[in-house]
Amino acid sequence: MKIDRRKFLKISGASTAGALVIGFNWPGMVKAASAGETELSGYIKFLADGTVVIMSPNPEIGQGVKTSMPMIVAEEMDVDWQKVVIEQAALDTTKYKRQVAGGSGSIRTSYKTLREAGATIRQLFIETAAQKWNVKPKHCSAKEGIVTHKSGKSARYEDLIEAAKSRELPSGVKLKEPSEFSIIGKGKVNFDAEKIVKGEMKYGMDTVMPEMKYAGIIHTPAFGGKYISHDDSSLASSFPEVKTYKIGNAIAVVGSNTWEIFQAKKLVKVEWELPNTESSESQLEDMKKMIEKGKLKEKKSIGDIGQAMAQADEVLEANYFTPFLPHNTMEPMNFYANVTGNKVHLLGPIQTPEGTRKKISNDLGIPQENITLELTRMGGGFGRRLRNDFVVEAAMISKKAGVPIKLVWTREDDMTGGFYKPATLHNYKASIKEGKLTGWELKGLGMKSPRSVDEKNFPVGAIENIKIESNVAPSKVTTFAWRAPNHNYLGFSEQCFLDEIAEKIGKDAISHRLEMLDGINSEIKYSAAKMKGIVEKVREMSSWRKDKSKKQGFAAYYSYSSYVAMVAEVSEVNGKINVDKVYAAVDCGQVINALGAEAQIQGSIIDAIGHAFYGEIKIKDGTPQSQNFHNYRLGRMSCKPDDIEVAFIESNDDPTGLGEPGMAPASPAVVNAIYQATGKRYYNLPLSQYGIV
Amino acid sequence: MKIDFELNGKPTSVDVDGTTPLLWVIRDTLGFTGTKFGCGMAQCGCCTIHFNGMATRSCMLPIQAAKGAKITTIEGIAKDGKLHPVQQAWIEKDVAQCGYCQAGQVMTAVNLLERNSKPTDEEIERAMEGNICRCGTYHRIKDAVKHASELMNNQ
Ligand code: FES
Ligand code: FES
Repeated sequence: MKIDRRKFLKISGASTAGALVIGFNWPGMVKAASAGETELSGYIKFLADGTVVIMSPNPEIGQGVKTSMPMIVAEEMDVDWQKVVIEQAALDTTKYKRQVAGGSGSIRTSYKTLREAGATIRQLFIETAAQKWNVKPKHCSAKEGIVTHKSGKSARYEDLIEAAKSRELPSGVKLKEPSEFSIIGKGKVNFDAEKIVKGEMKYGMDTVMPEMKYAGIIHTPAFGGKYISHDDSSLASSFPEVKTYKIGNAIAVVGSNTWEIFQAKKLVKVEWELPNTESSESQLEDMKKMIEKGKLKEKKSIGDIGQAMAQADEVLEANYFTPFLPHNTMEPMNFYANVTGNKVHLLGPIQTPEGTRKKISNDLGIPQENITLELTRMGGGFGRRLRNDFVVEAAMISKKAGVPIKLVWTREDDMTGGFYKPATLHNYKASIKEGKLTGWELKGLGMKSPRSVDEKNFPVGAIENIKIESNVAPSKVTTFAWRAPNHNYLGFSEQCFLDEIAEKIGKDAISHRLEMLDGINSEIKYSAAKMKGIVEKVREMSSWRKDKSKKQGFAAYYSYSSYVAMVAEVSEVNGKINVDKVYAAVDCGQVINALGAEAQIQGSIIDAIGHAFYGEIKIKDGTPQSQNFHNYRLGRMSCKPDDIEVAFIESNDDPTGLGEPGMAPASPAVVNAIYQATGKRYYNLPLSQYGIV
Repeated sequence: MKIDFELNGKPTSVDVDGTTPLLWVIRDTLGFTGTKFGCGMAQCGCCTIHFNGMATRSCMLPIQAAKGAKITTIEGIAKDGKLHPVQQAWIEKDVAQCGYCQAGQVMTAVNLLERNSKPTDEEIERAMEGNICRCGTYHRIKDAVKHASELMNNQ
């Protein structure tokens, strides 16, 4: 971080009496907190009572950044964590870079900058105290918000505030050694935990603003449907105040409370043109045909796959299917919008505030600087809130209706009108010669998605002959990123297929994996050594296959720069599978928040298993066949493993992602264990179709 | 229609259409937004409240059925500024991820422990089965219910 010292620190006088406000970009360039602004434009604020307010810029979706990012700053600032208060920052591109929650990237992209910022402030207090005592800064140290000179003299940060205000920020500060960490790597409870359990945490759904009306939306029932006309005449008798507006390809209903608009929506008759005849069956047929006819594009070719297959002692082939999945964040889509003349105020849950503001600016023809976007804590994201369709709707409705509105989607709107995880079909072939895996051929298709393979990931680099092809299977169903996009379902098929290969070769799955990793000598994006590290760790943790009565399955996967290996243990009781235990070994570099990190892995395991068991949205005539949780099953308490054990590899490497990497290995580890327990391999998700869960 | 009931220990009166679900009266009319909307079909548990001492889904319960009832929401669980042991356990076990489902989870857990202060693993799982959490916090929920049970029995 290049710190312009004069700009980095600016005292804001009257508006923050007694407080020291420091603005810096988080991460990125530095911005000043100027005196005139009443809004806190800087985002570390030292108050006279010792409280340290840290603004957290990244959207919080449950991945824990509102706690972990400030932990990094607090560590290097050397303040008492008990005195830290965290506030969610609004969108402000002049101060923050990458205000995005996605790609497991919040911590990955900001670790160093956050540390440098914290260390700079710590040094500021040390220098301030040193000058006051007329001693050398290097003879002073800081701990938990107190500067101490070697003579024993000490001063609290808050008592140095006034003197610090007239100083310039130090530069070239030294960061701590990981051995000196007292906050990073420890377990800190989610900062909002108390508010959440008291029902005080405000989500977008809870927004209430002056003069606010409520809006509902009626979308086309089928993907690809087009609005023709609508008739709202039956509203007059029951809901005379309720009004309808055409918004793009949908009808908005505006009324005075949520229940009223939910009811009113049912009375509006909309005529749609519904040309879509797609069904789940036709989609699968289409994908199979594409693979048969070789309608694929080459992504990677190493060695000579044709020759490997021709010379093989045995060729193994398998097809894996995964279905469309709605995101099903527990908080349905919603947003508050107030468009007045040339100004817009937006408030709500969104993973991509910056792109959203740009889009609204374009669509409404209002300059970006006139658009305020505030973030609420999100009731889940999983990729759904990377999209801004519902924010655009909210803004358009407010503009048309001429009132501030809160748009509220029902669960049905949410489940049927979303951007699903693409359905996929993966066709694998493996050539085996003299007990060795010599060739790997993968043909991947994603429905309406170009991402169905990963030509840079394992096993590329570990097999001599490789060919990877993929393509987009056409569909009118809209798809988008869904927690651990691509990896989630690719991990399932690839890790199950490798299990089958190991068995065919007559090798133990883990020994075979380690052999493959030992053979890596080409340039690859993952580290074979780190991958070996987690595989060995999980083998040890799980006492792999030592107790024959335990039916264990293994999988390991690299994504978002993190490595996760899992062993699942299952048992079969009366034909039904119970997941007894899952062991996970994780290498994500330096762990920031031990509690939060473990939660992400536990949650991913449960999330992945729940979806592998039950998750599926079927399509008929282009229409989703599930609308709410009565006919769509999300994982519940009963499908969680009886026990989960997570171990993090000790590492001081820069931290990597955690919100998603636990997804990919979980379902294949379970499916491979099911094979051990039942002797049956399952190639299609969800497993509920086989009656075993 | 005018309906009187008791909300978090206070006499409360509303004048709304009698078919309005209790959830929307609590949230929109009375402004207690701690009780969440997740499905509106009594399927997810986000809207769980206590209705005459029983954990109940408020999203399908018409307000007219609440005449004279004693209703407790997540805002009424802490007493005299002191957290309920379940809330305390939820914090200590760091259960919440996005947190949206957790008010409902806590309400179900409080009711379970009121009826059965030392539930077995199976009883916990059965009682909590109706509350969905997309973030997958079930592992810690179970831990927290057990911890809350200890806290309550040691009080
Ligand atoms: S909102 Fe009532 S159970 Fe889902
Ligand atoms: S904590 Fe996010 S849905 Fe339960």
